[in-house]
Amino acid sequence: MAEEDSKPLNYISEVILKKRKNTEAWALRKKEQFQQKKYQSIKKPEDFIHEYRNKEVDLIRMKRRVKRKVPEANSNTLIIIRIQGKKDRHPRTRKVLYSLGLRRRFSAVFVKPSEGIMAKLQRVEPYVTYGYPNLKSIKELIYKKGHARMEQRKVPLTDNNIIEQELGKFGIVCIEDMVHQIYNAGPHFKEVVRFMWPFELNKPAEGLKGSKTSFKEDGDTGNREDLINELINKMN
Amino acid sequence: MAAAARPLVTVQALDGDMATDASATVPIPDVMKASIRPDIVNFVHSNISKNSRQPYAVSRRAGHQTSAESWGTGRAVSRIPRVPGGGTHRAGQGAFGNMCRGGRMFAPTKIWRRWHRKINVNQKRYAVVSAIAASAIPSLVLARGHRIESVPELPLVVSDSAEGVEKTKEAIKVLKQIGAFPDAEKAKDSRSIRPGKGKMRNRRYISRRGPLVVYGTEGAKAVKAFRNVPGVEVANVERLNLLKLAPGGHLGRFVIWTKSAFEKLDSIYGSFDKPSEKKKGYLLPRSKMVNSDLSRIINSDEVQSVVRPIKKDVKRATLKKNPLKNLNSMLKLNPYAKTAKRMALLAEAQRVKVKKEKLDKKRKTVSKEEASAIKAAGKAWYHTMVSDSDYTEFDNFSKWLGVSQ
Repeated sequence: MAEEDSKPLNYISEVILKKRKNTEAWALRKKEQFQQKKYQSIKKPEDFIHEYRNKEVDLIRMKRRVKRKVPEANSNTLIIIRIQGKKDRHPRTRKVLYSLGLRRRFSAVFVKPSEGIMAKLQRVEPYVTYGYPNLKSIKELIYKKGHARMEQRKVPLTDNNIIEQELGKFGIVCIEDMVHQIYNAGPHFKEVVRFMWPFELNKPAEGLKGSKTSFKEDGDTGNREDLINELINKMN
Repeated sequence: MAAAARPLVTVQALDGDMATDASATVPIPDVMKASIRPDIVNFVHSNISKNSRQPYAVSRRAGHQTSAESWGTGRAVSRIPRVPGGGTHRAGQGAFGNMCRGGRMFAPTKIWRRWHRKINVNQKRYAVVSAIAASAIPSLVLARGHRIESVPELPLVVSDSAEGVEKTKEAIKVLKQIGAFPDAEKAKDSRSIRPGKGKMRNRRYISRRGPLVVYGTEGAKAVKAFRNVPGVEVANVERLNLLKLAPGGHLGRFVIWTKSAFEKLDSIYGSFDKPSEKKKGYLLPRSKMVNSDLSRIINSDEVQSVVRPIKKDVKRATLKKNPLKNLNSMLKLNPYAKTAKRMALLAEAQRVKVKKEKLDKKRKTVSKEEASAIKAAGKAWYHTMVSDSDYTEFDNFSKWLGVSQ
């Protein structure tokens, strides 16, 4: 009996256990969603009324907001992230969002803070958040999520040749030149921003509350100034 | 010129024909190339064979020619109508019912059945044309059971002198010359007694079918010469009967055509684009696809030579790696990243080294002389404090405050 050599205990690795737990949680969540979906397949008249009223209220608030002073920005470059607005925004608001390039939720663009841009931001303030990006955020965004717009196609930036073909005539031959132009708001800022497809960021875990109140008043929207970099880090 | 466009059939010469250097030939009529539809032939044959039926039924009076009445209840017998009278064993017997002897049958049959069938003219023509086309295919004729091994060619066309034979002896000689006699012999050998009740209904014997002789001249003597040969049947080319062309609804009858009959087929049935002269407005039926072998058509040289060649180079979407984690992707985009990374590592190492030296310096043990010096300094400071605490003169405070008057 004592002669037997001891064998190691059978165990399941922690990674597999964690994955199994996540899978079960996902399955339960999916089941709940499926059950809820049955009851929500029919849209009631109250939903339509509620939706239309929200749009109307949105327009009224926008008209009032426009009468206030246009906000200012103390940076060379701004990054604008759209964080909400799907059913409860007025078509005019949608038009402004589209002109900024924010067609999807959690899409982001770099802009130079001119007076026109700040006026647009004032119009769509409840649906976007913006701030002053630092070099690390700009660099990581362009390296990880940068896509080129070539003939209305989305081409990932995997090679500097793509950039040289399109922006070589402006002296921009590599991705570092793009970062430089955006960080310093250089003379070819506009061409670089047009060349890039809007960034599509991830939904931040526990970074947003779903509120339309200004960030200064403990909400989600509006100018975050330098704290936008924390949000970008979560969404990248 | 028209003969060159279609294949030709040799006209078989018979004994007594004028000898010529080149054998006579006739073009194959288009009817031989029509679609072969066994389903239509079977259907039309079944319906045509019904049209020669004669009505029959049991007598209307059968089982009712008595004045039987039921005895009712109370006599310990069933209530079936019973024959009246007495003195014979017929008296008191059951009558009328279908279970009684001498009663009527259940649901007596009537003469007003639907004996005959109407068949569309176009369907009949389609069936006849299919049967003619099938008779030109040796494999179908063999499959039907005919003996055609010694027949020189199918379709078999003989010269018109065959229409002039008058005696059965000469007819048999003609059949032997063209190799058709083994089929007739097979039919003769197969004569046997019919199974079933047909024996006593004037249908006692059955036998196989032999060749069918088709002639073209009205009133030809060959009709009487050939018709009594066992198995041989005769038909005029203008009145071809489906029951003879496809007996039992099965395609592939062995047909012997005379030359004049063969030449008339074109005018009787027309072709695929020219209407018939005898049947008003009739065109031969055409199949949807002349050649239904689709894979052969696709793989033919004519099709493959115009088809675009196979596109072998597949373009895949570029796979994007994360340059922030994948160093190779980062170096492809930013070659300086390697240098920057190395400088950062070196700077980190330098920082660690400097910090370590500083900590080591602080943790070093002091020597004995230094320790005693430190101790003496401490002791001196202590004595100064003790002496200064006497407070006898106010000038001591100035020393502490460091203020000079």
